[in-house]
Amino acid sequence: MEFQQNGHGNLSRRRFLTLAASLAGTAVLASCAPAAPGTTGNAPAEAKTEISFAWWTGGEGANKLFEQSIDHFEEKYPNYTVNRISMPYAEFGTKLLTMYGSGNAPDAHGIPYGTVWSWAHKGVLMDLTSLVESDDSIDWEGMWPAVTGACYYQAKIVALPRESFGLRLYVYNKTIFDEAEVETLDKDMATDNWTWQVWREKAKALTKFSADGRREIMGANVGAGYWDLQVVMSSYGVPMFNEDLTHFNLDDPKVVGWLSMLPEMLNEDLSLGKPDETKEFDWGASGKQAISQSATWAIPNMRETWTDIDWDFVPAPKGDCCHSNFVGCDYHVVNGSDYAKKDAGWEMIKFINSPEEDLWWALNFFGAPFRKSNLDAWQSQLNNIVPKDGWQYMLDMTETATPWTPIPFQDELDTIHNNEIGQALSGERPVEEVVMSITTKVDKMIANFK
Amino acid sequence: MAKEIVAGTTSINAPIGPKRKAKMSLMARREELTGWLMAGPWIIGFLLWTAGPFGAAAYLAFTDYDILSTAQYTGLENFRVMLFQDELFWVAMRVTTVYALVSIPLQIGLGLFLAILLNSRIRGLAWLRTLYYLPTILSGVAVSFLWVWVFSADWGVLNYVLSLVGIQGPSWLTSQDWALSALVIMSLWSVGAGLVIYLAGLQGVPTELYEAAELDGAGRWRKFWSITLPLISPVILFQLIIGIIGALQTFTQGYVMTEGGPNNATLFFLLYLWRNAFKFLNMGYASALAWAIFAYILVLTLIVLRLSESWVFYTGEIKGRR
Repeated sequence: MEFQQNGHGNLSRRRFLTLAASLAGTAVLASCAPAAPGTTGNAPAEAKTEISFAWWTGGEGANKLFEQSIDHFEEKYPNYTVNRISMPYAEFGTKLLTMYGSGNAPDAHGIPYGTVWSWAHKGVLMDLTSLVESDDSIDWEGMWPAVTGACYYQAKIVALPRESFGLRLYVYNKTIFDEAEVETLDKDMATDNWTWQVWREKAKALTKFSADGRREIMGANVGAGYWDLQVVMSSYGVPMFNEDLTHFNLDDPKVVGWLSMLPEMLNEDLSLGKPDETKEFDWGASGKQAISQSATWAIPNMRETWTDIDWDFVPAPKGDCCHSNFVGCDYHVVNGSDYAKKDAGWEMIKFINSPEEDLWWALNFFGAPFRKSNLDAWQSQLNNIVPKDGWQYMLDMTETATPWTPIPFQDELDTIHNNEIGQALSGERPVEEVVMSITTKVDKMIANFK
Repeated sequence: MAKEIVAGTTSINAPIGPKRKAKMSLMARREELTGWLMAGPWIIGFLLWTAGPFGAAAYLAFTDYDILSTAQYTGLENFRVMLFQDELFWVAMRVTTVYALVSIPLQIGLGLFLAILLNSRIRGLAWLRTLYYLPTILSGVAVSFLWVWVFSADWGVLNYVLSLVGIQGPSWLTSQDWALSALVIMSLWSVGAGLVIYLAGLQGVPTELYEAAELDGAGRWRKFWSITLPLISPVILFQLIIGIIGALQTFTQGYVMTEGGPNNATLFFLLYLWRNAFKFLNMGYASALAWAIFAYILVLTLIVLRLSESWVFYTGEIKGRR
């Protein structure tokens, strides 16, 4: 292209530069403009309602199930098409928050355990009370109270249980037990001797190091986060909080006693892994961990990754009271914002919670079904799908499940708790000192929480 | 002669009276328009993604805002809580300041030292320069994970090296006493960025000055103190200011490696700000925190610039004469 001074005929340099600058500016402005609705692809012959649905991906096996579940919904309701939004769990809360903040949150989405209150407290969830009470297909009383109890916010139903309700399991590697000539945990269960003390003893007995000091077998794993404590405290009959939710019961002597065991296991027994040992290496999936703390929702993933491991499971160990059995249930909710397609969102989550889908989830996700009426069908098929001795304990676990304590300040509590509890585990500070520090801060946070 | 007026200048034949703005010619207007159009994309980006959020944060700092509901005006409440009620604000300020006070001099000293070593006609200088600079371009998250392993109490490289000289290393990242020190050590990993700049500065020092000093009997240290340091003082000033801005905005290491623990030992200010914004949904308070750190960095930078008049020398400048 020749550049000429006068601009006539051929494009002058100045004119070219002006044109280029204008095009660049237009491109920037165009890229900032929101997409016009309904302009992507060809318009369907029949008008379909598009709804958006978000969930977190908890591994390949779990994610596949969610995709299939949405396929089921679209098959049953061909007038709906679902815009599927999945993201890693660690990013789910932040992403959802920014979507609500920018006014384009999905019409329906999952909500992790214990956070129903936090979201409902912010006023973004739809009140489902009248819908649940007027719909005969939803047998609210027929679902486990431990599950439905956490669907409420200030006496209003704001959520439906999601997938199936997860039960805490302790998975053991039979091969490691056989090689170490240690009795497997089902024997302890049979003699009602599966306690936290036995857990410690067996973890120590199964731990193995090579001649050059490298760990070959990890005895056990455990955490002392708020999640883990739900299991522990319920096993000692200690509620997470006092009645009016003003005090965190971490300083209960039984809980302190349990916590005091952990630095000994870490530093003396060497049966627990230190944080930098366990951070990036999955000892369980590698077949090098004797006893693994897990839950029913991990089973779909274990089916894919633990193929070479001979494993089985028992409930979590027993404290003074009972076998730890807290319910780690997640929920589905409907976006209560004005722009959301609430009717469609309600149809979506109601479908996922329906009796047929409830059983489907329970059989594929290996958690208990929400409905007692599905229990027999579920139990009778489990052993055919994944043959394990552990299924024999499932009914008891389901019937004695304890609910997660719903609180609006879970993130704040997690932050305070996780900030210091590691020092107790590692033995850097005395357990009693750490516990006092945490409970004081948590109680103060609760008092100031708005 | 009255007609011989060059655009933008005043002719001696111009009438005496109030000054009039010279009317721009068509060509000049076109040039100005072209200039604005060329700068347009940057200006739009600045307004949308810098000035806009700045203004929004300035407003939100005076509100109670949780993203999910409308912002409620609360006046100076956020600042009152920040200064007089929030203990963690002062913890975060202290941690961040200590980190900056220790890491910046170390980075400047080490960078300068390595640059002096490399400032000679050695073979492979370009390769060495690249090697030292490489860590700077690596992803902060990936580097953080790498350093978690380096600082591992039982398996880490650092404690292994210390054990060779009979020292039992601490539990770096899980120790309240050593976690911040670990992150200071880690900050030296990216000294290469400064090294390259120091090297450029050193290579700009006229060699005749060193020759003249040698003739006068100056030793190595004297030459360094009286010639090298003054002449690269502008570079040091630049690195100091950039270092202050960077160190006070440290986030990744605290987020990835320690989550601010143990027991707030590595609670960097930006990590605390992020928590308030995105974990606790206190956007209004987080905006107030953002303005606090902005003011803090601005004041420190101005102090450094003011003090620099006494120790920074620019070529050709004569001290005392402005």
